[in-house]
Amino acid sequence: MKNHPENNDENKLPEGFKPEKTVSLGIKIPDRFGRNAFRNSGAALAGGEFSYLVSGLNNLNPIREFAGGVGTIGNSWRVIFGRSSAQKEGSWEQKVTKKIFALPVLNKLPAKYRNPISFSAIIDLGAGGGYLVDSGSHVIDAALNNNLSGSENEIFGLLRAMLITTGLLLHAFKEEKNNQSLKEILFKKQNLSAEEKNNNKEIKGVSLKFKSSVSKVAGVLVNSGEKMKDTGKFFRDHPVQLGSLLFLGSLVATVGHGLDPTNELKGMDAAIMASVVLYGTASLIQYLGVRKGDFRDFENSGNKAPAVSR
Amino acid sequence: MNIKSLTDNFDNNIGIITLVTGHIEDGKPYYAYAIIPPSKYLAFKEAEKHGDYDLADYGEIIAHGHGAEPSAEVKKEIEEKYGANHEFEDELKSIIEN
Repeated sequence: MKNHPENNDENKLPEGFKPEKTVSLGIKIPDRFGRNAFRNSGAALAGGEFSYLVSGLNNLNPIREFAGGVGTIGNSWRVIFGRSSAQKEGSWEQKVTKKIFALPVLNKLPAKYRNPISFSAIIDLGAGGGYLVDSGSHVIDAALNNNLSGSENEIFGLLRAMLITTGLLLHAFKEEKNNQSLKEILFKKQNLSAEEKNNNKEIKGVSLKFKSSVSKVAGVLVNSGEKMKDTGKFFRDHPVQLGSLLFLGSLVATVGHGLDPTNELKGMDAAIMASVVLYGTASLIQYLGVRKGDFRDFENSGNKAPAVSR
Repeated sequence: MNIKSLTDNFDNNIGIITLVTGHIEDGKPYYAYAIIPPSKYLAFKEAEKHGDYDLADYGEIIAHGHGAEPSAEVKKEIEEKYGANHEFEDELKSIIEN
């Protein structure tokens, strides 16, 4: 990259330049990933080639109703769920702290990813990326059944955690639409006693439900027909669409980040960072999907529901 | 691919396009475009809070010039070349609020 022609100097600012105001202009990404798709959220939502994606997301209706964030309580990472509508009724923080859960899988992420930015992006992907999960059983399967090792396993662990969490959240969102609260979904079905709930058994409860949810989501998706069989091929052939889905997920991340009281970044900055994280994930999915053949392997496996091993 | 190559790949391929305006020593307004890699973005935002930082320490300067804001011609070139959107923040805010 070089300076604009109007400048005669190299990429060197004049001495004494004092910055005063900063405006973000979007994300610069390489053309091979479809720069126009990521250029800004307005373009992504404006219609055209993305209209069907937006439609798919709206059908699931999670975007405007849910927000999430991640923070720490003691030494444990917690996921914060909440309804955006709750913000109008009072303090958002008071509302969300009533719905704090721990997801053990987050604590298994590589240390460098254990930060509010990537965690919030992971959680928010669950809301905004609902469409991805709804048609992405191959990806879930790859995430659940990978046998990679070493550094590849570490990388894939991030992807796995993201996708498992996405599956959980998607399941929870669907149940919520059936007039069940998230708390009911996560605890009541486990038949946990009140005493167990009050004795900090939340982690155990969520962990159990976590498996159940993933199994159910994955099973339902895998068994839902021919559409699923073509999903992996679709995303391999249309990586931009996959990336776009993730980018749309980052819009939800904006809300989650902005409302998460533990997050250092707010508003626009949070949105930008979430976009970067999600973009990186899109790249990772593409890389792993193509290089490791996980999608293809699953397609050749007889299309059976994956075993849940954790 | 290991973690380092993954993050390096992010930094080499992704960046937050930023327009910074301010003044130079003679008091005249000046602007600069920079691309901030993800790994430096947090530090950049922190420096921004405190002010008086060297933009070049945090990102690659891709254009700069005199004036309170770039000319329409410069804006167009940056948009075409780097995919910048000068309405990015307004559009995103609008989507979030609606």
